[in-house]
Amino acid sequence: MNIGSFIPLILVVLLTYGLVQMAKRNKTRSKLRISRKMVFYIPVGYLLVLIISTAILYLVPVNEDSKLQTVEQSFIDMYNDNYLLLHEGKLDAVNPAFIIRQWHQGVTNQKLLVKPRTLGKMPVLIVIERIPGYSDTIDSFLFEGKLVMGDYEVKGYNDDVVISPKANELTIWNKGDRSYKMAYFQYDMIMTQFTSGTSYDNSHSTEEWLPTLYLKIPESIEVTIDEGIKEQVTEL
Amino acid sequence: MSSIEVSLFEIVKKQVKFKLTSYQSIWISLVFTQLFGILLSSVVSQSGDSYSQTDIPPGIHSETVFTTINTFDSTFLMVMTYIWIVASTIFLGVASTKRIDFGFISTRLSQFLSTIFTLIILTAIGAITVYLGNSLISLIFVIFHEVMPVSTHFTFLAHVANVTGVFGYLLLYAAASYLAISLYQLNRIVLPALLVLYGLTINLSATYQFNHPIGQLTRFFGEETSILIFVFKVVIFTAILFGSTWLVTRNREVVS
Repeated sequence: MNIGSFIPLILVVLLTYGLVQMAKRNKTRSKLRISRKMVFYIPVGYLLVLIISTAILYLVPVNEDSKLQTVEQSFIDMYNDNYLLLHEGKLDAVNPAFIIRQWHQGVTNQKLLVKPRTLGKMPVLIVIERIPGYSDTIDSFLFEGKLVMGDYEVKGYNDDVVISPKANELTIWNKGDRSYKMAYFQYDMIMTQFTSGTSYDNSHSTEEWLPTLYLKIPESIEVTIDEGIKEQVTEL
Repeated sequence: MSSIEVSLFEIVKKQVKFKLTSYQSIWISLVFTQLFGILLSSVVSQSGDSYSQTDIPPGIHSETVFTTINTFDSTFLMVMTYIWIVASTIFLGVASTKRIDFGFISTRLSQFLSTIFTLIILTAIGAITVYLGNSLISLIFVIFHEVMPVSTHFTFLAHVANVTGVFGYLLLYAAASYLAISLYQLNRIVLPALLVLYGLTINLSATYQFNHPIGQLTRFFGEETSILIFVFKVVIFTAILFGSTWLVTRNREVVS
């Protein structure tokens, strides 16, 4: 038999006894006496604070800040479809709104080295489409990445990605710490027992789609991928 | 000399009004227990840290992203409100408080009914304030935390269902406490004996692998998803508890 389980019971008995004794003894009550005015104003003030808090939460959009923004699942699905199209090499079918940067890079000697600035993995995926013909120009498209935490999208997620095209090199790195934090408030489960269907997913899953650098490289250009990032590169 | 016939309703109404306005400690304790619960709920969180890696396209992994999601909830606020309703019920149920009731033109029935109506009103106020307290917790986040809180958005009817559910649970606690304190006053051994019996049941159920009655009772209410059926259950169960209390207290003398 677990004796430990009796400890809460003993506490309950002692608490009950204490409460009964406190209620019975007038002396205890007189010690805690508060002036009549305060007795009126404290509960009324408390109620007012609760009502005002509720009004503020409903009237002022405090649930969003500059870093996070609500996102609909249908939008995420649409984005994901575009993401898959891009990785299948169907750049023309991709919604242009998701292309956040586009540029041409001229290379010399028909050679290109793709590398991270520092050792390790890069903050982007790379898709390389080889196009027939001879040219020294590479068309580059940066497809937007997304980080979704629960029902919220992290704004500015792509801002820290740096892509530096120089001569025969394409150097990529991330200037941020890639650390994100948020908090949820949820009602006690008793309070939502009958409305759990309308509640959000308690798992608060985090989903991330890295930005994708789509490169259209003429077949005449010799491409070298740094060993450390090879697994992040897809050649179509 | 004149005699005025006073109806039971009038007596009960007067006594309820008296209890609600005179026992000020109940209102003060409501404020402070709930504020304590709000503060506890605001600082205690479940933290979930994770490294996120993209899995599209399959087989390719990205540079890791470190995410932290803290989940705050209003459980402590709810617990403190339970404690408040139990303490208030004990306060209303003890003999010294009952004696004051008989300063009125009063019968045992009017005293009993007035206590029940007072408890129902207290429970309703407790349910509304505990529910509104969620907003204060969220607001504290917004003011003092850099991170962002997210509240679930309910429809008006959903809010009504939620408050009704909270009211039901608080009323059950009040009714059970009222019966417990009445039993305690009947015989000081009854309450500790019940608690020991409860402990034994829990232990024996764990040892011999059977569902103990408390667990079954918890599931009886906790697994109900229909608010209407829940209300029905609460009404029946509360009626049984209050009825039992009446049976325990109706023949007791008013001791000075």
